[in-house]
Amino acid sequence: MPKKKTLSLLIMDPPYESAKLITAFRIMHAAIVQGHNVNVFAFEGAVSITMKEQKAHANPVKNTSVEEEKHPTTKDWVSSLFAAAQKNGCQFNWINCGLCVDERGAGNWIEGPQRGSPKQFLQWAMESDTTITITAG
Amino acid sequence: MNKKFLSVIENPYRATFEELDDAGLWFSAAVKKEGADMSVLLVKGAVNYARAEQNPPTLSIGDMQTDNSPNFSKTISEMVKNGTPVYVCAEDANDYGLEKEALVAGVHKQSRGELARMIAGFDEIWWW
Repeated sequence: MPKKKTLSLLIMDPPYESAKLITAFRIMHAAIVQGHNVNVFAFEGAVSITMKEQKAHANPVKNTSVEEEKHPTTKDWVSSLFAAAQKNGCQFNWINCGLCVDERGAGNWIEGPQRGSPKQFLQWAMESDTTITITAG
Repeated sequence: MNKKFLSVIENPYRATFEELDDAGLWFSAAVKKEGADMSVLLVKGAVNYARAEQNPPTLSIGDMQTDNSPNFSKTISEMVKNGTPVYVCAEDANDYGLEKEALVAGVHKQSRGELARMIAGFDEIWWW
């Protein structure tokens, strides 16, 4: 059993826009299933990842129904990571940058994330074993 | 242990009219205010942020006029005054036509060949 470590990530990409978000989710997942603690600071467009109102939809191009399409939502993936952390006995913390939330009207999010500021990320960076920034560009 | 952080800004002008700032520079200044040992390196197009003479335009969209577009020479100048070491990659500055232009006072040019050694002196690199 590897020694439990803490990984902190800062992400910026909004949902459904870039391959980088899936990369970030895979890194979070890999760490959590190995029992490591993961902190995520969602900055800028990334605060929309956890919005409660996200809905799956049908696909008229592929003629699939909502059920057939099985369109994933990023909020469900985040909920799933919270559940995985609980199952694996590790911590998963998610902070949405408060100012970014305000300017985007993205304040109605799923259970789990908290509101915060760069101060929290700095604290995580100081205390973590390693930090990754996956920024938009 | 106090970690030394370096923010490398590579992708400039990302939503800067809307945010009135550069996200990476803003974040770096925010954590500096919280006591972080923070330095900034501007590379590629972001070297333009360090140009001394900048005159941001007024933005008109429909009936709305925005006349407080960010002036990055002021942003960088304030960072330098607040004790944040700011570097530009010298070769990138030349590539972007800045070799003969004045940079914001206090900004250091660092040759590309020396960047690896410089970066190795930091505990964490945040790449924007």
